[in-house]
Amino acid sequence: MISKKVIFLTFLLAIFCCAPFLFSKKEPKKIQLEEVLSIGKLDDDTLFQWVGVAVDSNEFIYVTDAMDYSLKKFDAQGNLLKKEGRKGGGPGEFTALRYLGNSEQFLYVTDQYKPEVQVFDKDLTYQRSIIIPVPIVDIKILSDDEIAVSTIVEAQLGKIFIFDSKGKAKREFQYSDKKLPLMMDVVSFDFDLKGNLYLAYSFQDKIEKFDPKQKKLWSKKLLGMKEVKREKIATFVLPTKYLYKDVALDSSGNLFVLGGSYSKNQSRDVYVLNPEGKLLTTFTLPDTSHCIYIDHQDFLYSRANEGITLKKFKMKYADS
Amino acid sequence: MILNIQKHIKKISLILMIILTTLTVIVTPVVSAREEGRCEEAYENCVDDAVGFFFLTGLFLNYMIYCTAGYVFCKKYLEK
Repeated sequence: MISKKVIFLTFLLAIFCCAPFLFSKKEPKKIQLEEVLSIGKLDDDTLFQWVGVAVDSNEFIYVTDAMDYSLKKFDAQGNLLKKEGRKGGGPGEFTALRYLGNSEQFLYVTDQYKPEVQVFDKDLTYQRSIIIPVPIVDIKILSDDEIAVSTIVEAQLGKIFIFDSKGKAKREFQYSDKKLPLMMDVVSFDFDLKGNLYLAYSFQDKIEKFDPKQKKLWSKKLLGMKEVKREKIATFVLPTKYLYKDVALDSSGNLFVLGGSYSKNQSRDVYVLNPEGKLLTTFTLPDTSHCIYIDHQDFLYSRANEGITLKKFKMKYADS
Repeated sequence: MILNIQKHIKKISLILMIILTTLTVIVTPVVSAREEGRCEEAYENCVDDAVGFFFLTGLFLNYMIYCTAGYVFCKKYLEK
């Protein structure tokens, strides 16, 4: 009887001692990048000016190439498998290709001057268009019936709009509590699996997290800036430099934020925050980028050679 | 506001398609702007073009918003 008790207590003690290691999330103190793939070179015609990237569960890489007016599909080794699209205003055609989102089945492609999202299957076959009546600054596909976009609004409160598969506004996620001057509430954003919203303001020193009920959980300034420079351009007063260019979440829920013009290494510094908003570490990309993307295996993708090259990195997490 | 825009989107989309060609011309300088200040220049050109639609209020506002979207992208993509 005693021995059973001893075994049971020892077991409990072991669980208690090991719990931090068993259940803790990956919380890096340092991240090193190891390049594992590079697509597109200065002397080839694989990519001309890529903008959006998405990676599916089969490790296929999809890229929007603005200057080539095409959507491209690569295998995990970086071989071009297929290319679709051309310049034009019709279905499956593009005028100013921008961002890319993906679900398990489909790809969602934005075009700056078309008030719609074009939907393609994974073979890059055009399926349909969804009318989105706002200019899209960032897009995330929560499901095939929930397309979240951030936009530019004037004299309104900053909101993320969530549209259904027919383009009907299903719900709004309000993130600002006061009306701001034009462009000052432009954000890049991402949702975690629990429905929490993370966002980084493009022209304010502000990174924030909201719970699914739209309650602000935290707000951080990483650059210590009180005011952002704005200039008069064509009768409008506009901000002229980005503070934060993009955000992405890794599988542990850590938030990666790509800094812009005010970072020490412009458009190269990436700030890593844990889900509670604590700055864990900062690392620097080898080349300037307009975006960062993290796939389901925590590989990081960014730009090189001004959009001619797409780089894939393994992130090596170190505890010290 | 979104619902209101949705009601008008069918009407507007037709007109938008007509000006698409004009807008495409604007895209080119935005995309090719490599030096600092070129995004501002492209924005000014876009606004100048939008003024031509000033008396078509809905269209003018749409045009202006898309000029701004072009500026936001230009700044993000082309400038450090």
